[in-house]
Amino acid sequence: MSSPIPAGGVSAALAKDRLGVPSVVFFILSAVAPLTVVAGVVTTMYAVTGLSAIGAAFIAVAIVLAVFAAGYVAMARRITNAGAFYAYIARGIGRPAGVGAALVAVVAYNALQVGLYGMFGPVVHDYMLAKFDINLAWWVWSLIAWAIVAILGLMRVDLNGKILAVLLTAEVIVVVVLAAAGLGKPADGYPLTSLSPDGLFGHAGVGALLVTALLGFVGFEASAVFAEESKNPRRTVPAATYTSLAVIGVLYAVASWAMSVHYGDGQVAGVAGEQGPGMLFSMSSSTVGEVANVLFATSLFAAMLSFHNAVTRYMFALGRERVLPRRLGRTDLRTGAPRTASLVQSVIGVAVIALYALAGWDPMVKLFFWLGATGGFGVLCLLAVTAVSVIVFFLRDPQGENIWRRLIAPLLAGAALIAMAVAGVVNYSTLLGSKPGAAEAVAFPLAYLIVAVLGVVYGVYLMMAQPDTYRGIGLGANAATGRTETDLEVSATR
Amino acid sequence: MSIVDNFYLLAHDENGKPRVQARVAALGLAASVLAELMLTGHVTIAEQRVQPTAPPMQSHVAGQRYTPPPDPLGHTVWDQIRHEPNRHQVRTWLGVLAPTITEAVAVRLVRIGALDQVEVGRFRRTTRYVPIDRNAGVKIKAVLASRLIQADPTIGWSDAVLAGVLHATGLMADVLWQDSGGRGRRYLGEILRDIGAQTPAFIDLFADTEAAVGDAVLSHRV
Repeated sequence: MSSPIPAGGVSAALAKDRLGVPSVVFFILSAVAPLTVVAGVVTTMYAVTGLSAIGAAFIAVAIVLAVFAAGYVAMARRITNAGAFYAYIARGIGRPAGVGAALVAVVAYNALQVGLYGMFGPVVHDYMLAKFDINLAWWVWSLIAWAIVAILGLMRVDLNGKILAVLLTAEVIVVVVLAAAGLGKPADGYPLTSLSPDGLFGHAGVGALLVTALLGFVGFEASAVFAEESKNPRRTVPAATYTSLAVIGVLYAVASWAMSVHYGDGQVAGVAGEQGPGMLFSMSSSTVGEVANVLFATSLFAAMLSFHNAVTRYMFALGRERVLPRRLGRTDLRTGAPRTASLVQSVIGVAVIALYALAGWDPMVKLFFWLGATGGFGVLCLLAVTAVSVIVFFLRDPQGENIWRRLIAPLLAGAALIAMAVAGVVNYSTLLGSKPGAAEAVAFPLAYLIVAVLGVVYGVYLMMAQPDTYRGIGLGANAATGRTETDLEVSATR
Repeated sequence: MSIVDNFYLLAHDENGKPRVQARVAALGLAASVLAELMLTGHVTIAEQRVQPTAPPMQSHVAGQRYTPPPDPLGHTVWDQIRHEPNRHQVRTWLGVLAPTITEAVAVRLVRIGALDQVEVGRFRRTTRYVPIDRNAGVKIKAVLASRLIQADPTIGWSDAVLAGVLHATGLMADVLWQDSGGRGRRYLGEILRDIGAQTPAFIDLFADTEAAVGDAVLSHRV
């Protein structure tokens, strides 16, 4: 009779299939989608904000996030549902705050996902028109992408890890080649304006710059999910997080510097306004540019699917907790996909695409950049509150963590993140490329505030009316057991 | 038929293909094995950890101090739990048992004549276990559904615990698909409360199974 337990007993079974640093780095980098950021975000940053210190902003944000990560990964090892910011906030500050954060997260990640349709459509439109003389409206291509994401989401297909790894490697190589080509043909020497911290401090609109730079790092928070399944949770996840932050920080900074060198400090904003992502691709020969263009589309698509799944997981976890309708926590029996949650995200996506198509709004600026920047701003707020939660969590019980990880690092990161969030609100019109005082520059941040307050109020209501549900807030699937702390044994169940 | 066998047949179709995601079926089978050992008094759950117990000998067999679990699969798992130096959490055992449990149960069902082992696939030959009685799963489902919907007061521990595992894994939706008016669900709720009142450890087992199934969705990566 075959034994149901591998030789070596439970400890051998627990040690099997653990992730090492390189695997975790790959997972993090593919969640970040570097080419989407360099071609989509950086070029739009030049065009919309009109500011030049973009490389410096990426470096600054990478440093802040590295400091933030010290406390973040320390807490991740100790709580269940560690993949979601609101779990930290519920455990640190309190469950009502956790509900507020959960709703903010659902809005922010939806904005990030839907915003990508506003980039994908126009990019494919331009490519198809230039290459094959096919002239369909941007929203037709966005809807095609939407339909594929909706179907893959329902079938519970994530892109295969190996395909993602190949695409990711190709993306990084292409960015390096394009940056090198750009630096090889400088417009006027090598001014360091883009990389200089001088361009960062004391300038109007720096908040806008930092929020968009942060947008380029969204996805790095996925590292915490691996705390329970890594070879050595104390070392693997921190090492992988710092490596990833360094790789993408340097990559973004060099690429944005290369663009400003190639086109010239004075012209780069204008070129970005005219060419969009094309300004990156035209820095090199047409062959490399073409490969990069195709990879850009696949990178966007992978990012759409990845954010779709992120939103779906958030809503599924909240459905399991019964904080959102319980139906969202159900899965399709055969595929195991969180069907209702996936459908809800897809409905939101098609509704927004339809709205922009019918209203005739510009997809690149008003869909991609507005919603993308707003999603990034939402994540920034979540990061700031999470840093505070880490401090509160370890104040209650240091659990053997040193003072850097439990207090100093989250304090420094929290202060920087709060400052960034405040500057972001002040500069929101610059962030969106609107006139000062424009209605949308008030409406987007205000929407988060309203959602957060509603969530906190709902959390307090749950405390009084539904104590069972209240106890499960922030626990995700573990709301079923009410278990708040992880025992590292749990990794065997993944 | 045991809880484990019933769960296996319910979770697979007449061609032997899993009707649910393989990971969910495996977690349900692992929970069923633990549930059977709990029913026969060979393990219990205390402080969220699986604790082995040894039911006293019932008949005099030379050299034997305990009544062993009645089936070899349960016996193997019980031995493993007894001989582990540490007492592990329910979640840990579910995770440790899940990767291999489906095959082990299928082999047992072949031996008792409920499944037939066939080789399928032209290029990549794989073994599939096909029910000899093609309607075996449907029959178990129909009997359980009618007992729940008619609120059968004679429902035994075995069926009640099976219902609990099905509920925790989400498969109950498939059993009670004709439950108009929610009578079956209401009776299921009563049964679960009864079980919890008499043996709270079962409620822990169901909750841990539900959490493991939910986490399998959340941590899904290809």
